[in-house]
Amino acid sequence: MQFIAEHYLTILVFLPVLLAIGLQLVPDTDNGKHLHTYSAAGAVVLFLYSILAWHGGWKITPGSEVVSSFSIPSLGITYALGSDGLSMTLVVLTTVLLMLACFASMTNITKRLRLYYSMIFLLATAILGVFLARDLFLFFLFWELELIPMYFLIAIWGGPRRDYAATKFVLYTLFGSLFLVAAMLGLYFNAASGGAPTESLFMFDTLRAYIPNLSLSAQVLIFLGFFITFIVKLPSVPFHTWLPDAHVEAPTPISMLLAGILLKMGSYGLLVFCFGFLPEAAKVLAPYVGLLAVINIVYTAGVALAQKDMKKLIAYSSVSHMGFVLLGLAALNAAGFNGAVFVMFAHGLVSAALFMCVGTLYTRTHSRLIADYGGFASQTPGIFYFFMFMGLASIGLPLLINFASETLVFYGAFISNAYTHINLFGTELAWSIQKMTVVAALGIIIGAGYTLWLLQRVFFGPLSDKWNKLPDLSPSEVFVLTTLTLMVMAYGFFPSWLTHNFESDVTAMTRPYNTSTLSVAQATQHQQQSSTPQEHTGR
Amino acid sequence: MTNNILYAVLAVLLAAAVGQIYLIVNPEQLQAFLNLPALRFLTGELNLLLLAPEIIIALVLLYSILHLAITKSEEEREGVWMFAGVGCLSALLCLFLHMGLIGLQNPAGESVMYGMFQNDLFSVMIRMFLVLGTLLIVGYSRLYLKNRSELPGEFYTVILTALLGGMLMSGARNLIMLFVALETLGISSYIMVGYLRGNVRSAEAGLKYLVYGGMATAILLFGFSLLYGITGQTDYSAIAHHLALRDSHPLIPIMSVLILGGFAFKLSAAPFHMWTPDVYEGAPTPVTAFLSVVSKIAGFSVVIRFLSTFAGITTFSVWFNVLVVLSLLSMVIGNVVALTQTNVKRLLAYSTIAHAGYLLLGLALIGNTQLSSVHIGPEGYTQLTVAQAGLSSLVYYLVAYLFMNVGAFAAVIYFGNLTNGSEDIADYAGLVQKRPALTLIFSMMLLSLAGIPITAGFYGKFFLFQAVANAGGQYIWLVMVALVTSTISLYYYLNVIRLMVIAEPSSVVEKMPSETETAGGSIQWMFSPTNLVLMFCLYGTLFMGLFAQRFIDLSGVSVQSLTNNSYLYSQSITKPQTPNALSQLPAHTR
Repeated sequence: MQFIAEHYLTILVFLPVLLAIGLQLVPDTDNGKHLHTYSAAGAVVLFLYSILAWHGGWKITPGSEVVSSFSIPSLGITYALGSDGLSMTLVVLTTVLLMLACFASMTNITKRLRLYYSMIFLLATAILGVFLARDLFLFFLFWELELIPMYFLIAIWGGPRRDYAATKFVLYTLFGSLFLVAAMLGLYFNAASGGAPTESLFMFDTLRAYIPNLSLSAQVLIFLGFFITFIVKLPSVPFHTWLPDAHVEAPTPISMLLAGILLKMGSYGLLVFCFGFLPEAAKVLAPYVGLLAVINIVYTAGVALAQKDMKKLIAYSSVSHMGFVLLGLAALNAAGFNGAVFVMFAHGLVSAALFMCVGTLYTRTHSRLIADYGGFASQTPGIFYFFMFMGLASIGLPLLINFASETLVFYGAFISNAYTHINLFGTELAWSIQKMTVVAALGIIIGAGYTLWLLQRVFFGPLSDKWNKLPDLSPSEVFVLTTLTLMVMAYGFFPSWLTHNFESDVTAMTRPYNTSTLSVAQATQHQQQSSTPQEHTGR
Repeated sequence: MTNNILYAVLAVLLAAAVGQIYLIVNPEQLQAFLNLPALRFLTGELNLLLLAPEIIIALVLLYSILHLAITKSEEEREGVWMFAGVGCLSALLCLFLHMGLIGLQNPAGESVMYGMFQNDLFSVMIRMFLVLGTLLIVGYSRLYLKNRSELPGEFYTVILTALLGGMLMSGARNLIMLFVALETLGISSYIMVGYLRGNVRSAEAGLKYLVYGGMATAILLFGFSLLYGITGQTDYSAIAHHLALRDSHPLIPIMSVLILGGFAFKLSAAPFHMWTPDVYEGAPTPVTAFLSVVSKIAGFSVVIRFLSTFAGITTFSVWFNVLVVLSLLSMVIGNVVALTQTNVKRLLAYSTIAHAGYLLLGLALIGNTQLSSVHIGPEGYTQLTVAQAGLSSLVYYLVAYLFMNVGAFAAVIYFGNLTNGSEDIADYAGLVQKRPALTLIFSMMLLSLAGIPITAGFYGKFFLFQAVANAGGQYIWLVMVALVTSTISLYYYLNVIRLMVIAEPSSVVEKMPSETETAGGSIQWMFSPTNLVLMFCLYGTLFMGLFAQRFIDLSGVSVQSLTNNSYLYSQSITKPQTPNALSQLPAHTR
């Protein structure tokens, strides 16, 4: 018991690997029924364990879980895992979606199941490791580890152009990682001037302590290194083109994981590294982040409007929604940061559900082209209800989760005084963050446009003869979609159930921004306002 | 009958090992024992006690030859592989004890055979790796030779001779000793490469290796003779002392080129690499593994000891620039040419060349005595010099390389046996569907060779590149080239994995019996020597990655023992200004 309490995070991260090892002993008979059952049960166990680790007997400790045998002090590498509200929120999102993805796999995946589920569990370890690592190097290892299972998952179980999509995904991410390595080298070679201890050079606590001692130009360069890595993963214009391809080719459960969790790795990195560790650089670069956010939201929403393929449309809407994360971060205040985390969670649920809905249609018709559909509301009413609900949630219908999160981001951006001018190619433009937010709000309207138009074209109008007698939802599909629906409703009605988990940790990250950009009186006033975001979002 | 003899030998060896433990644990009794007049040769100037592992190997070797001479039965002759295995195990145990009980307390060690051989911690560790590598290779040689060679028993006598040569190389500190050991390894290798007499490719490879190798040895020997002519000495430290005290000599550049060329051939560094792909492809696969692992480690140990003795002497400073060039060429040529290979053994041959390039990076720093930022040691961190940091990462990488390369070749042999000796990379397609465990292990080895995190290969590269980057701004571009070339290498390593996992099974794999048909799951099959070797390599690769700090500490200590012996560290070198100092030199060299 003592051992578990001391190593509960290590167990959490490596539990999926143990599950994968156990999977090798399960017999592959009965059309893979045992493999499906074992994996779903394993994912449920993982989910329960993560809930237990969060709320249960082991309190979230402020320190890190360090295992010295695995540390390499001569390279400045420490094996350190740690949990705070932000990490644990994302961990639970991961385990929930993993569980649902395993249930979704029951109907979607039929070949080479043992390898498939092994890869899923390996992916889980990598993602949990990313969210829980408290050492930059360890973070990097898990970040790279995630590539291996994801590549195979797309390249083996994907659609017709799977090789192309998987390779593109890997190349883009590796390109991004190059900048992560560059940023790490920058930190490494500047460490001496910052007075960092060489044995634990990359620990988050160490980074937090010595990064402010570096020169501003060094900080800006390191910020840019991290920023490019994470916006490739986020993804953001101009590095977003891998996402539609990967989504279109990936099987449904993998699309769910890709949209639900993998994109959150990018936004988590942005929040923790760029905006958490490098506040001075963030202040300098906030206008450009805001501009990128607006371009993301509006441009990709426009692109989504023009799509003919359902999965591509939802993929582009994902990119558009991740623009809100960037906007919230550019606000540099508590409401904006909390809003960004809230959008991460909300998008994780809603986009996963939308991909699930498209997947249910695809398994029945084997077509993703919108033009092939029409009149499905009467044919498959179950899918229609869930798809309609999730579509409305995605638009930001009040009392659903996206509304709460996006409102919080907009609120944060409106009250922000992060910047009033932006310098583009030597010209000073009076584009304040408020003006940019107004433009970003256009994205919501376009979003309503493409989503409702999609629903109209798929579910209304005349039904083609070839789609007669399609079966409606199977029990496992109903389970997956119901779970997501309940979560979307619960956190939409009571946003504070979610926000109180991460709010204090995320607000603590904004401390460096409050003191210098605002006067003390304003700062305290804003602190009071923004430290209780659930009052604003609860309505 | 064989079994009885085998048990007898085993019992004797074990008794010897136990006796040795007993004596080492009780120093007084050991002293009393060694004071027996008949055993004087074990201590004193000759100090043969410290060569116990070599003596064990030599005895096993002699016994094997006798056994082969008197037995006729094919089956019993083949049983020699067990002698070889047991001999290696005993030698390994012996070395392990030596390291644990004496080596760590007295890293600098003692000289053996009137100063011919230095039994320091570095040589003990290198000998451990050599014996371990040979043991692993012996473990799967039988599987390979069984249906291919009409003389499956004699092979082990040759491989033991080669091992003996390699072990003596690792501690040699005298040119004569070095040359004898080098030739013992070399000539045995020529025999092993051409061992499959009926096979044209093997015979061709053997002849090629003999011609190239003989040439390289002659060049090396010519270099040694010039060195002897210049200094009048054959002992390393005497040569170093002499060279440090005298002005440059017109023959020194020629001598340097000859010796470096000879060494570069042994290390298969570009541009002296031409023989490598042909020989590696033609040789029996266990021999390829032996050449690329055991020979390589022995060669590096020689070069490390040779260069670290002369580090800091101005005459030799140009050597390190040459090493940088060799390293660059090897990294680029090895990795780029590997991209186009279709034969798995040729692929691994070019990867060997590339790895020689990475390893040479660590050597190139050897003249640098500035303190680096690298600290080692379990308690009370010791700061290493740049040269020591480079060498300790080199030693770490050598061990990592041992595990991953032996493992990769084991997988190649295993696959070849399942498919009638196929070596085509395209034939590996879809292997995961028939042999998931083999695919997993082979993939781990390739990932480690490519330097993917948490494997030993990753930390090996990380330590090496960090040591080079720490050496100063002028080396940064070298690290850049190394990083770019290892990125290129990702392609050809990962391509094999991609084929094995993603592609549909090739016709060869389709015909392969499924795992359950070949007595899968039975304990006997699980613990067959080949499987044990594969698993051992897998665990070795993973453990060296997980507990990297322990291993790098150990190699750091061993390297300290070596560099502390070298001329540079033992005394400050000042060039003589007065003719007085010169007159201290032996008359004929003035």
